[in-house]
Amino acid sequence: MISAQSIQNPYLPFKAEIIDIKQEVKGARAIKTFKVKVVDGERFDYQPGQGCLVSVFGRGESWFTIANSPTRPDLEFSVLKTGKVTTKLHELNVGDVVGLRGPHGRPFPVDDWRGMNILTVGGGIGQTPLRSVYQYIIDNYNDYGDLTIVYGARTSRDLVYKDELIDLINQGYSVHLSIDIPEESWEYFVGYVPDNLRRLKPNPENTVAIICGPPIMISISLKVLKDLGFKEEQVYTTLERRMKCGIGKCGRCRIESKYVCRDGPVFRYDELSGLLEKT
Amino acid sequence: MFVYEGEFIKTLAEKLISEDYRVYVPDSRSFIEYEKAKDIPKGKTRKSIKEFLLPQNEVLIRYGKWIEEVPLDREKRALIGVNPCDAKAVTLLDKIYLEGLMDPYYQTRRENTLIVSRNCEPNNYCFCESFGLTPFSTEGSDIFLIEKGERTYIIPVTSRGEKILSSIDGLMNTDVDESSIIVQHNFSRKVNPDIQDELRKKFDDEMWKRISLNCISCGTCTFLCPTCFCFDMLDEGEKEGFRYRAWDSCQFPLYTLESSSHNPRREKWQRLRNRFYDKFLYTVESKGEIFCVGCGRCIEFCPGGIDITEILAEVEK
Repeated sequence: MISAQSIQNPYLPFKAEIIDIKQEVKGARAIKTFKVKVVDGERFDYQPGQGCLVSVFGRGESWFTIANSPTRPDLEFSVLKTGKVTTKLHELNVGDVVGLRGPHGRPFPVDDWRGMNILTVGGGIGQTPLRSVYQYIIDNYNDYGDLTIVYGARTSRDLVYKDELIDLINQGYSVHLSIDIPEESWEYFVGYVPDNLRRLKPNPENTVAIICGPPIMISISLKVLKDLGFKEEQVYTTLERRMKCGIGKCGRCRIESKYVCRDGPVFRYDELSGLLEKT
Repeated sequence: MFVYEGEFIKTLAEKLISEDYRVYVPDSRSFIEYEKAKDIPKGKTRKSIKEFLLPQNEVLIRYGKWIEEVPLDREKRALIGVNPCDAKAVTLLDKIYLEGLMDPYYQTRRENTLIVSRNCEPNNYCFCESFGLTPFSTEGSDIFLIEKGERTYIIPVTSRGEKILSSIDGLMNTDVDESSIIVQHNFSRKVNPDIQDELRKKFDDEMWKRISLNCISCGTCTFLCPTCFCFDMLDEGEKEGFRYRAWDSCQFPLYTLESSSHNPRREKWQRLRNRFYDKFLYTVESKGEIFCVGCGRCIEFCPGGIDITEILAEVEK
Protein backbone atom coordinates (compact mmCIF):
# COMPACT_ATOMS: atom_id res chain seq x y z
CA MET A 1 0.00 0.00 0.00
CA ILE A 2 1.30 3.40 -0.79
CA SER A 3 0.26 6.72 -0.37
CA ALA A 4 -0.60 9.06 2.01
CA GLN A 5 -0.35 6.70 4.90
CA SER A 6 3.25 5.87 4.27
CA ILE A 7 4.37 9.47 4.25
CA GLN A 8 7.20 9.59 6.75
CA ASN A 9 6.23 12.75 8.48
CA PRO A 10 2.90 12.20 10.23
CA TYR A 11 2.30 15.94 10.48
CA LEU A 12 2.14 16.41 6.72
CA PRO A 13 -1.38 16.35 5.35
CA PHE A 14 -2.02 14.83 1.97
CA LYS A 15 -4.27 16.27 -0.62
CA ALA A 16 -7.94 15.35 -0.96
CA GLU A 17 -10.50 16.82 -3.30
CA ILE A 18 -14.11 17.36 -2.37
CA ILE A 19 -16.19 15.44 -4.94
CA ASP A 20 -19.63 15.73 -3.41
CA ILE A 21 -21.39 17.71 -0.69
CA LYS A 22 -24.72 16.80 0.84
CA GLN A 23 -26.55 19.17 3.14
CA GLU A 24 -27.86 16.86 5.84
CA VAL A 25 -29.21 19.44 8.25
CA LYS A 26 -29.95 23.14 7.70
CA GLY A 27 -30.12 26.05 10.10
CA ALA A 28 -28.12 26.97 13.17
CA ARG A 29 -26.78 23.46 13.65
CA ALA A 30 -26.11 22.74 9.99
CA ILE A 31 -24.50 19.47 9.05
CA LYS A 32 -22.95 18.68 5.69
CA THR A 33 -21.48 15.41 4.51
CA PHE A 34 -18.41 15.85 2.36
CA LYS A 35 -17.27 13.11 0.06
CA VAL A 36 -13.56 13.42 -0.69
CA LYS A 37 -11.15 11.63 -2.96
CA VAL A 38 -7.51 11.26 -2.05
CA VAL A 39 -5.57 12.96 -4.84
CA ASP A 40 -2.17 11.32 -4.56
CA GLY A 41 -2.38 7.69 -3.69
CA GLU A 42 -4.09 4.60 -4.89
CA ARG A 43 -5.63 3.35 -1.71
CA PHE A 44 -6.63 4.56 1.66
CA ASP A 45 -7.08 1.65 4.04
CA TYR A 46 -9.08 2.14 7.17
CA GLN A 47 -11.52 0.40 9.45
CA PRO A 48 -14.89 1.61 10.79
CA GLY A 49 -14.36 3.90 13.77
CA GLN A 50 -11.10 5.43 12.60
CA GLY A 51 -10.80 9.11 11.88
CA CYS A 52 -8.82 11.71 10.01
CA LEU A 53 -7.62 15.19 10.75
CA VAL A 54 -9.09 17.41 8.10
CA SER A 55 -7.15 20.59 7.35
CA VAL A 56 -8.54 23.83 6.09
CA PHE A 57 -5.36 25.82 5.81
CA GLY A 58 -5.59 29.15 7.53
CA ARG A 59 -8.14 27.82 10.01
CA GLY A 60 -6.56 24.65 11.30
CA GLU A 61 -7.35 21.00 11.58
CA SER A 62 -10.15 19.06 13.20
CA TRP A 63 -10.68 15.37 13.77
CA PHE A 64 -13.61 13.70 12.08
CA THR A 65 -14.54 10.07 12.22
CA ILE A 66 -14.88 8.60 8.76
CA ALA A 67 -18.60 8.41 8.12
CA ASN A 68 -18.71 5.65 5.54
CA SER A 69 -17.59 2.06 5.48
CA PRO A 70 -14.30 1.01 3.86
CA THR A 71 -16.44 -1.26 1.71
CA ARG A 72 -17.71 1.86 -0.09
CA PRO A 73 -15.78 4.15 -2.37
CA ASP A 74 -14.04 7.36 -1.26
CA LEU A 75 -14.22 8.94 2.16
CA GLU A 76 -17.09 10.77 3.79
CA PHE A 77 -17.04 13.17 6.69
CA SER A 78 -20.14 14.63 8.28
CA VAL A 79 -19.41 18.03 9.70
CA LEU A 80 -21.48 20.00 12.17
CA LYS A 81 -20.89 23.70 11.63
CA THR A 82 -19.74 24.87 15.02
CA GLY A 83 -16.20 26.27 15.17
CA LYS A 84 -13.48 27.92 13.10
CA VAL A 85 -12.55 24.92 10.97
CA THR A 86 -16.05 23.58 10.47
CA THR A 87 -17.48 26.99 9.54
CA LYS A 88 -14.87 27.30 6.82
CA LEU A 89 -15.47 23.73 5.68
CA HIS A 90 -19.12 24.56 5.20
CA GLU A 91 -18.13 27.33 2.79
CA LEU A 92 -16.18 24.97 0.54
CA ASN A 93 -17.45 23.67 -2.77
CA VAL A 94 -17.04 20.58 -4.91
CA GLY A 95 -13.57 20.72 -6.45
CA ASP A 96 -11.98 22.43 -3.47
CA VAL A 97 -9.05 20.78 -1.82
CA VAL A 98 -8.54 19.94 1.85
CA GLY A 99 -5.69 18.31 3.72
CA LEU A 100 -6.07 14.93 5.37
CA ARG A 101 -3.99 13.12 7.95
CA GLY A 102 -4.82 9.62 8.98
CA PRO A 103 -6.48 7.27 9.25
CA HIS A 104 -5.77 7.34 12.95
CA GLY A 105 -7.09 5.64 16.02
CA ARG A 106 -8.24 2.24 17.14
CA PRO A 107 -11.19 1.04 15.06
CA PHE A 108 -14.23 -0.99 16.05
CA PRO A 109 -13.20 -4.65 16.17
CA VAL A 110 -15.69 -5.55 13.44
CA ASP A 111 -13.84 -8.76 12.58
CA ASP A 112 -14.20 -10.02 16.14
CA TRP A 113 -17.92 -9.37 15.92
CA ARG A 114 -18.54 -11.85 13.10
CA GLY A 115 -21.52 -14.05 13.85
CA MET A 116 -22.91 -11.63 16.40
CA ASN A 117 -25.94 -9.37 16.43
CA ILE A 118 -25.08 -5.70 16.11
CA LEU A 119 -27.03 -2.91 17.80
CA THR A 120 -26.14 0.72 17.12
CA VAL A 121 -27.51 3.45 19.35
CA GLY A 122 -26.96 6.95 18.01
CA GLY A 123 -27.96 10.51 18.75
CA GLY A 124 -27.53 13.54 16.50
CA ILE A 125 -24.18 13.84 14.75
CA GLY A 126 -23.05 10.88 16.87
CA GLN A 127 -24.53 8.65 14.19
CA THR A 128 -21.43 9.25 12.04
CA PRO A 129 -19.14 6.48 13.35
CA LEU A 130 -22.12 4.15 13.64
CA ARG A 131 -22.89 4.64 9.97
CA SER A 132 -19.46 3.33 9.09
CA VAL A 133 -20.26 0.25 11.16
CA TYR A 134 -23.75 -0.44 9.86
CA GLN A 135 -22.69 0.06 6.25
CA TYR A 136 -19.89 -2.41 6.87
CA ILE A 137 -22.33 -4.92 8.39
CA ILE A 138 -24.80 -4.45 5.53
CA ASP A 139 -22.01 -5.00 2.99
CA ASN A 140 -20.92 -8.18 4.80
CA TYR A 141 -24.41 -9.24 5.73
CA ASN A 142 -23.84 -12.99 5.73
CA ASP A 143 -21.03 -12.69 8.27
CA TYR A 144 -23.16 -11.14 10.97
CA GLY A 145 -26.37 -11.81 12.89
CA ASP A 146 -29.17 -9.28 13.16
CA LEU A 147 -28.49 -5.59 12.67
CA THR A 148 -30.56 -3.12 14.69
CA ILE A 149 -30.16 0.62 14.24
CA VAL A 150 -31.61 2.94 16.89
CA TYR A 151 -31.20 6.59 16.08
CA GLY A 152 -32.71 9.87 17.12
CA ALA A 153 -32.32 13.63 17.06
CA ARG A 154 -34.12 16.67 18.45
CA THR A 155 -36.36 17.11 15.45
CA SER A 156 -36.81 15.35 12.14
CA ARG A 157 -34.83 18.15 10.54
CA ASP A 158 -31.83 17.33 12.75
CA LEU A 159 -31.60 13.70 11.66
CA VAL A 160 -28.45 12.98 9.70
CA TYR A 161 -28.62 10.38 6.86
CA LYS A 162 -32.42 10.49 7.13
CA ASP A 163 -33.15 9.48 3.53
CA GLU A 164 -30.65 6.68 3.70
CA LEU A 165 -32.14 5.35 6.94
CA ILE A 166 -35.70 5.51 5.62
CA ASP A 167 -34.46 3.61 2.55
CA LEU A 168 -33.12 0.95 4.88
CA ILE A 169 -36.49 0.76 6.63
CA ASN A 170 -38.15 0.29 3.27
CA GLN A 171 -35.69 -2.46 2.43
CA GLY A 172 -36.74 -4.24 5.62
CA TYR A 173 -33.84 -3.39 7.90
CA SER A 174 -34.50 -2.98 11.60
CA VAL A 175 -34.13 0.79 11.91
CA HIS A 176 -35.80 2.68 14.75
CA LEU A 177 -35.88 6.43 14.42
CA SER A 178 -36.98 8.92 17.04
CA ILE A 179 -37.33 12.62 17.59
CA ASP A 180 -37.44 14.35 20.95
CA ILE A 181 -40.55 16.46 20.45
CA PRO A 182 -43.75 15.60 18.54
CA GLU A 183 -44.15 16.75 14.94
CA GLU A 184 -47.01 16.42 12.55
CA SER A 185 -46.63 13.62 10.01
CA TRP A 186 -43.82 11.97 11.97
CA GLU A 187 -44.60 8.27 11.83
CA TYR A 188 -41.85 6.95 14.08
CA PHE A 189 -41.14 7.12 17.81
CA VAL A 190 -41.35 10.37 19.76
CA GLY A 191 -39.06 10.56 22.78
CA TYR A 192 -35.42 10.36 23.68
CA VAL A 193 -33.15 7.71 22.23
CA PRO A 194 -32.78 5.84 25.55
CA ASP A 195 -36.58 5.72 25.83
CA ASN A 196 -36.80 4.19 22.38
CA LEU A 197 -34.14 1.70 23.39
CA ARG A 198 -36.02 0.74 26.54
CA ARG A 199 -39.18 0.26 24.49
CA LEU A 200 -37.41 -1.91 21.90
CA LYS A 201 -35.82 -4.16 24.54
CA PRO A 202 -32.92 -5.51 22.48
CA ASN A 203 -31.81 -8.97 23.56
CA PRO A 204 -28.28 -8.95 24.96
CA GLU A 205 -27.57 -12.52 23.93
CA ASN A 206 -24.71 -12.74 21.44
CA THR A 207 -25.08 -9.02 20.80
CA VAL A 208 -22.70 -6.07 20.70
CA ALA A 209 -24.05 -2.61 21.28
CA ILE A 210 -22.34 0.56 20.13
CA ILE A 211 -23.42 3.90 21.51
CA CYS A 212 -22.46 7.30 20.20
CA GLY A 213 -24.05 10.67 20.77
CA PRO A 214 -24.17 13.50 23.29
CA PRO A 215 -22.64 12.57 26.68
CA ILE A 216 -26.01 12.52 28.48
CA MET A 217 -27.56 10.28 25.83
CA ILE A 218 -24.61 7.92 26.06
CA SER A 219 -24.75 7.58 29.82
CA ILE A 220 -28.52 7.00 29.97
CA SER A 221 -28.40 4.57 27.04
CA LEU A 222 -25.66 2.63 28.79
CA LYS A 223 -27.83 2.40 31.87
CA VAL A 224 -30.78 1.16 29.83
CA LEU A 225 -28.61 -1.49 28.21
CA LYS A 226 -27.32 -2.61 31.59
CA ASP A 227 -30.92 -2.85 32.84
CA LEU A 228 -31.64 -5.06 29.85
CA GLY A 229 -28.81 -7.37 30.83
CA PHE A 230 -25.94 -6.08 28.68
CA LYS A 231 -22.51 -6.41 30.25
CA GLU A 232 -19.93 -3.63 29.89
CA GLU A 233 -17.84 -6.01 27.76
CA GLN A 234 -20.64 -6.00 25.17
CA VAL A 235 -20.94 -2.25 24.86
CA TYR A 236 -18.66 0.02 22.85
CA THR A 237 -18.54 3.73 22.40
CA THR A 238 -16.38 6.19 20.57
CA LEU A 239 -15.15 9.22 22.45
CA GLU A 240 -14.34 12.73 21.44
CA ARG A 241 -11.84 15.10 22.91
CA ARG A 242 -10.26 18.23 21.62
CA MET A 243 -7.42 16.92 19.47
CA LYS A 244 -4.44 18.46 17.79
CA CYS A 245 -1.72 16.09 16.65
CA GLY A 246 -3.86 12.98 16.27
CA ILE A 247 -0.87 10.69 16.76
CA GLY A 248 -0.48 10.39 20.51
CA LYS A 249 2.01 13.19 21.14
CA CYS A 250 0.48 16.57 21.88
CA GLY A 251 -1.33 15.44 25.02
CA ARG A 252 -4.57 17.29 24.37
CA CYS A 253 -7.02 14.44 24.00
CA ARG A 254 -5.81 12.41 26.93
CA ILE A 255 -8.20 10.90 29.40
CA GLU A 256 -5.86 9.92 32.19
CA SER A 257 -3.30 7.56 30.66
CA LYS A 258 -5.17 7.05 27.39
CA TYR A 259 -4.92 9.11 24.25
CA VAL A 260 -8.33 9.22 22.59
CA CYS A 261 -6.65 9.69 19.19
CA ARG A 262 -4.41 6.65 19.52
CA ASP A 263 -5.81 4.31 22.20
CA GLY A 264 -9.35 5.21 21.13
CA PRO A 265 -11.52 6.76 19.90
CA VAL A 266 -13.24 3.38 20.20
CA PHE A 267 -13.43 2.04 23.72
CA ARG A 268 -15.17 -0.92 25.25
CA TYR A 269 -17.06 0.13 28.34
CA ASP A 270 -15.11 -2.02 30.75
CA GLU A 271 -12.02 -0.05 29.68
CA LEU A 272 -13.67 3.17 30.79
CA SER A 273 -15.49 2.18 33.93
CA GLY A 274 -12.37 2.30 36.11
CA LEU A 275 -11.47 5.85 35.15
CA LEU A 276 -11.36 8.54 37.81
CA GLU A 277 -12.20 11.34 35.42
CA LYS A 278 -15.68 11.35 33.96
CA THR A 279 -15.73 10.76 30.23
CA MET B 1 36.80 8.44 33.79
CA PHE B 2 39.19 11.17 32.72
CA VAL B 3 40.61 14.15 34.48
CA TYR B 4 41.51 17.47 32.95
CA GLU B 5 43.53 20.29 34.47
CA GLY B 6 42.32 23.73 33.42
CA GLU B 7 39.22 25.10 31.78
CA PHE B 8 37.67 21.99 30.29
CA ILE B 9 34.39 23.58 29.20
CA LYS B 10 36.37 26.10 27.14
CA THR B 11 38.44 23.35 25.55
CA LEU B 12 35.38 21.24 24.80
CA ALA B 13 33.36 24.17 23.47
CA GLU B 14 36.12 25.26 21.13
CA LYS B 15 36.64 21.74 19.89
CA LEU B 16 32.93 21.32 19.20
CA ILE B 17 32.71 24.70 17.47
CA SER B 18 35.57 23.61 15.21
CA GLU B 19 33.44 20.58 14.34
CA ASP B 20 30.50 22.79 13.32
CA TYR B 21 28.49 22.48 16.48
CA ARG B 22 26.67 25.46 17.84
CA VAL B 23 27.50 25.41 21.49
CA TYR B 24 25.21 26.66 24.24
CA VAL B 25 25.94 27.20 27.90
CA PRO B 26 23.72 28.32 30.78
CA ASP B 27 23.16 31.85 31.90
CA SER B 28 20.59 32.34 34.63
CA ARG B 29 17.59 32.60 32.32
CA SER B 30 18.25 30.00 29.67
CA PHE B 31 21.00 28.51 27.57
CA ILE B 32 22.80 31.05 25.38
CA GLU B 33 25.43 30.75 22.69
CA TYR B 34 28.86 30.10 24.08
CA GLU B 35 30.35 33.04 22.22
CA LYS B 36 27.95 35.41 23.97
CA ALA B 37 28.45 34.05 27.46
CA LYS B 38 30.51 36.09 29.88
CA ASP B 39 30.73 33.31 32.40
CA ILE B 40 29.02 29.98 32.91
CA PRO B 41 27.11 30.21 36.16
CA LYS B 42 26.30 27.13 38.20
CA GLY B 43 22.75 26.38 39.24
CA LYS B 44 19.57 25.96 37.29
CA THR B 45 18.54 28.04 34.33
CA ARG B 46 15.03 29.34 34.66
CA LYS B 47 13.99 27.63 31.42
CA SER B 48 14.91 24.00 31.01
CA ILE B 49 16.72 22.60 27.98
CA LYS B 50 13.51 21.19 26.52
CA GLU B 51 13.26 24.18 24.19
CA PHE B 52 16.27 22.84 22.30
CA LEU B 53 14.40 19.65 21.48
CA LEU B 54 10.84 20.91 21.49
CA PRO B 55 10.98 24.65 20.79
CA GLN B 56 8.32 26.81 22.32
CA ASN B 57 7.14 27.63 18.80
CA GLU B 58 8.04 25.62 15.75
CA VAL B 59 6.86 25.92 12.16
CA LEU B 60 5.74 22.55 10.79
CA ILE B 61 4.54 23.42 7.30
CA ARG B 62 3.96 26.39 5.08
CA TYR B 63 0.82 26.65 3.02
CA GLY B 64 -0.42 28.68 0.11
CA LYS B 65 -1.77 27.04 -3.00
CA TRP B 66 -0.75 23.77 -1.39
CA ILE B 67 1.68 22.86 1.36
CA GLU B 68 5.40 23.05 1.51
CA GLU B 69 7.40 20.97 3.92
CA VAL B 70 9.71 22.87 6.24
CA PRO B 71 13.13 21.20 6.29
CA LEU B 72 13.90 19.45 9.54
CA ASP B 73 16.32 21.26 11.81
CA ARG B 74 19.54 19.29 11.48
CA GLU B 75 21.85 21.81 13.06
CA LYS B 76 24.42 20.17 15.32
CA ARG B 77 24.12 21.62 18.79
CA ALA B 78 25.91 20.98 22.02
CA LEU B 79 24.51 21.99 25.38
CA ILE B 80 27.27 22.20 27.95
CA GLY B 81 26.62 22.61 31.65
CA VAL B 82 23.23 20.97 31.74
CA ASN B 83 21.81 20.05 35.14
CA PRO B 84 21.38 16.30 35.74
CA CYS B 85 17.63 16.72 36.29
CA ASP B 86 17.21 18.37 32.89
CA ALA B 87 19.18 15.58 31.23
CA LYS B 88 17.02 12.97 32.90
CA ALA B 89 13.94 14.88 31.77
CA VAL B 90 15.03 14.45 28.16
CA THR B 91 14.82 10.68 28.58
CA LEU B 92 11.19 11.19 29.60
CA LEU B 93 10.43 13.42 26.61
CA ASP B 94 11.93 10.62 24.48
CA LYS B 95 9.23 8.30 25.76
CA ILE B 96 6.57 10.57 24.33
CA TYR B 97 8.20 11.70 21.12
CA LEU B 98 10.22 8.68 20.03
CA GLU B 99 7.96 5.82 21.09
CA GLY B 100 5.03 4.80 18.90
CA LEU B 101 4.83 7.03 15.86
CA MET B 102 8.15 8.87 15.72
CA ASP B 103 7.97 12.65 15.85
CA PRO B 104 10.41 13.65 13.10
CA TYR B 105 10.97 17.21 14.33
CA TYR B 106 11.89 16.07 17.82
CA GLN B 107 13.83 13.07 16.65
CA THR B 108 16.02 15.07 14.29
CA ARG B 109 16.88 17.58 16.98
CA ARG B 110 17.50 14.87 19.50
CA GLU B 111 19.91 13.09 17.15
CA ASN B 112 21.83 16.27 16.56
CA THR B 113 22.00 17.55 20.11
CA LEU B 114 24.88 16.64 22.37
CA ILE B 115 24.13 16.87 26.08
CA VAL B 116 27.05 17.59 28.36
CA SER B 117 25.89 17.79 31.94
CA ARG B 118 27.74 18.83 35.00
CA ASN B 119 27.31 18.28 38.70
CA CYS B 120 24.91 20.86 39.99
CA GLU B 121 24.47 22.89 43.13
CA PRO B 122 20.92 22.24 44.30
CA ASN B 123 18.87 25.10 45.69
CA ASN B 124 16.11 25.07 48.28
CA TYR B 125 13.45 24.15 45.74
CA CYS B 126 15.16 21.00 44.49
CA PHE B 127 13.92 17.49 45.34
CA CYS B 128 15.47 15.27 42.66
CA GLU B 129 16.62 12.84 45.33
CA SER B 130 13.01 11.73 45.72
CA PHE B 131 13.29 10.12 42.29
CA GLY B 132 16.64 8.48 42.85
CA LEU B 133 18.54 11.33 41.20
CA THR B 134 21.47 13.23 42.64
CA PRO B 135 23.55 16.23 41.56
CA PHE B 136 25.83 13.60 39.99
CA SER B 137 23.31 11.52 37.99
CA THR B 138 24.45 10.88 34.43
CA GLU B 139 21.23 9.54 32.89
CA GLY B 140 20.31 11.36 29.69
CA SER B 141 23.76 12.91 29.26
CA ASP B 142 26.33 12.09 26.61
CA ILE B 143 29.16 13.37 28.76
CA PHE B 144 29.16 14.18 32.45
CA LEU B 145 31.50 16.66 34.10
CA ILE B 146 32.37 16.87 37.75
CA GLU B 147 34.11 20.09 38.60
CA LYS B 148 36.29 20.03 41.65
CA GLY B 149 38.59 22.97 42.23
CA GLU B 150 40.83 23.47 39.20
CA ARG B 151 40.15 19.98 37.98
CA THR B 152 37.35 18.58 35.88
CA TYR B 153 36.54 14.90 36.05
CA ILE B 154 34.95 13.69 32.85
CA ILE B 155 32.69 10.68 32.45
CA PRO B 156 31.85 9.51 28.94
CA VAL B 157 28.25 8.28 29.18
CA THR B 158 27.26 7.43 25.61
CA SER B 159 29.38 6.17 22.71
CA ARG B 160 28.75 9.51 21.09
CA GLY B 161 30.21 11.28 24.08
CA GLU B 162 33.12 8.88 24.10
CA LYS B 163 33.87 9.60 20.47
CA ILE B 164 33.97 13.34 21.03
CA LEU B 165 36.21 12.99 24.05
CA SER B 166 38.64 10.80 22.10
CA SER B 167 39.46 13.78 19.92
CA ILE B 168 40.31 16.10 22.81
CA ASP B 169 43.90 16.56 23.88
CA GLY B 170 44.95 16.76 27.50
CA LEU B 171 42.56 14.20 28.97
CA MET B 172 44.21 11.87 31.45
CA ASN B 173 42.82 8.58 32.59
CA THR B 174 42.11 8.46 36.28
CA ASP B 175 41.10 5.71 38.64
CA VAL B 176 40.05 8.16 41.33
CA ASP B 177 37.48 6.79 43.74
CA GLU B 178 34.17 8.40 42.70
CA SER B 179 33.00 8.66 46.27
CA SER B 180 35.89 10.99 47.01
CA ILE B 181 34.69 13.58 44.48
CA ILE B 182 30.97 13.24 45.08
CA VAL B 183 29.45 15.65 47.57
CA GLN B 184 26.35 14.63 49.50
CA HIS B 185 23.55 17.15 49.60
CA ASN B 186 20.77 17.38 52.14
CA PHE B 187 17.55 18.19 50.35
CA SER B 188 15.01 20.12 52.36
CA ARG B 189 12.12 19.17 50.08
CA LYS B 190 11.00 15.69 49.19
CA VAL B 191 8.04 13.76 47.83
CA ASN B 192 7.00 10.14 48.08
CA PRO B 193 7.16 8.68 44.57
CA ASP B 194 5.00 5.69 45.57
CA ILE B 195 1.90 7.79 45.87
CA GLN B 196 -0.24 6.27 43.11
CA ASP B 197 -2.71 4.43 45.38
CA GLU B 198 -3.18 7.53 47.51
CA LEU B 199 -3.82 9.61 44.42
CA ARG B 200 -6.46 7.16 43.24
CA LYS B 201 -8.23 7.56 46.58
CA LYS B 202 -8.01 11.35 46.69
CA PHE B 203 -9.33 12.16 43.22
CA ASP B 204 -12.65 13.48 44.49
CA ASP B 205 -11.25 15.01 47.66
CA GLU B 206 -12.26 18.56 48.55
CA MET B 207 -8.59 19.49 48.95
CA TRP B 208 -8.21 20.24 45.22
CA LYS B 209 -10.67 23.13 45.37
CA ARG B 210 -8.90 24.67 48.33
CA ILE B 211 -5.41 24.19 46.94
CA SER B 212 -6.28 25.74 43.60
CA LEU B 213 -7.56 29.02 45.08
CA ASN B 214 -4.23 30.74 44.56
CA CYS B 215 -3.71 29.33 41.06
CA ILE B 216 -4.08 31.86 38.26
CA SER B 217 -3.98 29.26 35.46
CA CYS B 218 -0.94 31.01 34.01
CA GLY B 219 0.75 27.79 32.99
CA THR B 220 4.18 28.86 34.24
CA CYS B 221 4.56 25.50 36.00
CA THR B 222 4.03 23.59 32.79
CA PHE B 223 6.10 25.90 30.59
CA LEU B 224 9.08 25.73 32.91
CA CYS B 225 8.66 22.02 33.60
CA PRO B 226 11.37 20.06 31.77
CA THR B 227 9.05 17.07 31.31
CA CYS B 228 5.79 18.77 30.29
CA PHE B 229 5.39 18.00 26.63
CA CYS B 230 1.96 19.20 25.45
CA PHE B 231 1.58 21.35 22.40
CA ASP B 232 -1.07 23.13 20.40
CA MET B 233 -1.14 23.39 16.61
CA LEU B 234 -2.13 26.66 14.98
CA ASP B 235 -2.39 28.20 11.54
CA GLU B 236 -1.11 31.72 11.00
CA GLY B 237 -2.30 33.44 7.84
CA GLU B 238 -5.61 33.01 6.03
CA LYS B 239 -4.70 32.37 2.37
CA GLU B 240 -1.04 31.70 2.87
CA GLY B 241 0.96 31.25 5.98
CA PHE B 242 2.35 28.61 8.22
CA ARG B 243 1.19 25.93 10.59
CA TYR B 244 3.16 25.81 13.79
CA ARG B 245 3.10 24.05 17.06
CA ALA B 246 3.45 25.86 20.35
CA TRP B 247 3.79 24.71 23.91
CA ASP B 248 0.42 24.31 25.51
CA SER B 249 -0.67 23.83 29.07
CA CYS B 250 -3.32 21.65 30.70
CA GLN B 251 -3.77 24.62 33.06
CA PHE B 252 -5.38 26.68 30.29
CA PRO B 253 -9.19 26.42 30.01
CA LEU B 254 -8.93 26.24 26.22
CA TYR B 255 -6.80 23.14 26.38
CA THR B 256 -9.79 20.82 26.63
CA LEU B 257 -12.60 23.12 25.49
CA GLU B 258 -14.54 21.44 22.71
CA SER B 259 -16.35 23.31 20.00
CA SER B 260 -19.66 22.07 21.35
CA SER B 261 -18.73 24.17 24.45
CA HIS B 262 -18.35 20.98 26.48
CA ASN B 263 -15.22 21.17 28.60
CA PRO B 264 -14.13 18.06 30.49
CA ARG B 265 -11.92 20.16 32.77
CA ARG B 266 -13.93 23.33 33.02
CA GLU B 267 -12.90 24.23 36.57
CA LYS B 268 -9.51 25.53 37.61
CA TRP B 269 -9.24 22.95 40.37
CA GLN B 270 -9.79 20.16 37.86
CA ARG B 271 -6.95 21.48 35.76
CA LEU B 272 -4.60 21.95 38.68
CA ARG B 273 -5.40 18.46 39.91
CA ASN B 274 -4.65 17.13 36.44
CA ARG B 275 -1.05 18.31 36.64
CA PHE B 276 -0.31 16.21 39.70
CA TYR B 277 -2.25 13.20 38.47
CA ASP B 278 -0.61 13.33 35.09
CA LYS B 279 2.89 13.42 36.49
CA PHE B 280 2.46 10.99 39.36
CA LEU B 281 -0.24 8.60 38.17
CA TYR B 282 -1.22 8.71 34.48
CA THR B 283 2.32 8.64 33.07
CA VAL B 284 3.20 5.92 35.55
CA GLU B 285 0.32 3.89 34.08
CA SER B 286 1.16 4.62 30.46
CA LYS B 287 4.96 4.93 30.47
CA GLY B 288 6.05 3.43 33.76
CA GLU B 289 7.68 6.70 34.77
CA ILE B 290 6.91 9.63 37.02
CA PHE B 291 7.11 12.71 34.84
CA CYS B 292 8.81 14.84 37.45
CA VAL B 293 12.53 15.12 38.05
CA GLY B 294 12.38 17.33 41.12
CA CYS B 295 13.92 20.41 39.53
CA GLY B 296 11.67 22.63 41.64
CA ARG B 297 11.05 25.26 38.96
CA CYS B 298 7.27 24.98 39.32
CA ILE B 299 7.65 25.85 43.00
CA GLU B 300 10.24 28.58 42.60
CA PHE B 301 8.38 30.48 39.88
CA CYS B 302 4.71 29.90 40.76
CA PRO B 303 3.09 33.33 41.25
CA GLY B 304 0.55 31.69 43.55
CA GLY B 305 3.09 29.98 45.76
CA ILE B 306 1.80 26.51 44.93
CA ASP B 307 4.25 23.85 46.04
CA ILE B 308 4.04 20.38 44.53
CA THR B 309 5.84 18.82 47.48
CA GLU B 310 3.34 20.26 49.97
CA ILE B 311 0.41 19.12 47.85
CA LEU B 312 1.67 15.58 47.47
CA ALA B 313 2.33 15.48 51.20
CA GLU B 314 -1.28 16.44 51.76
CA VAL B 315 -2.44 13.69 49.40
CA GLU B 316 -0.71 11.22 51.70
CA LYS B 317 -2.40 12.51 54.82
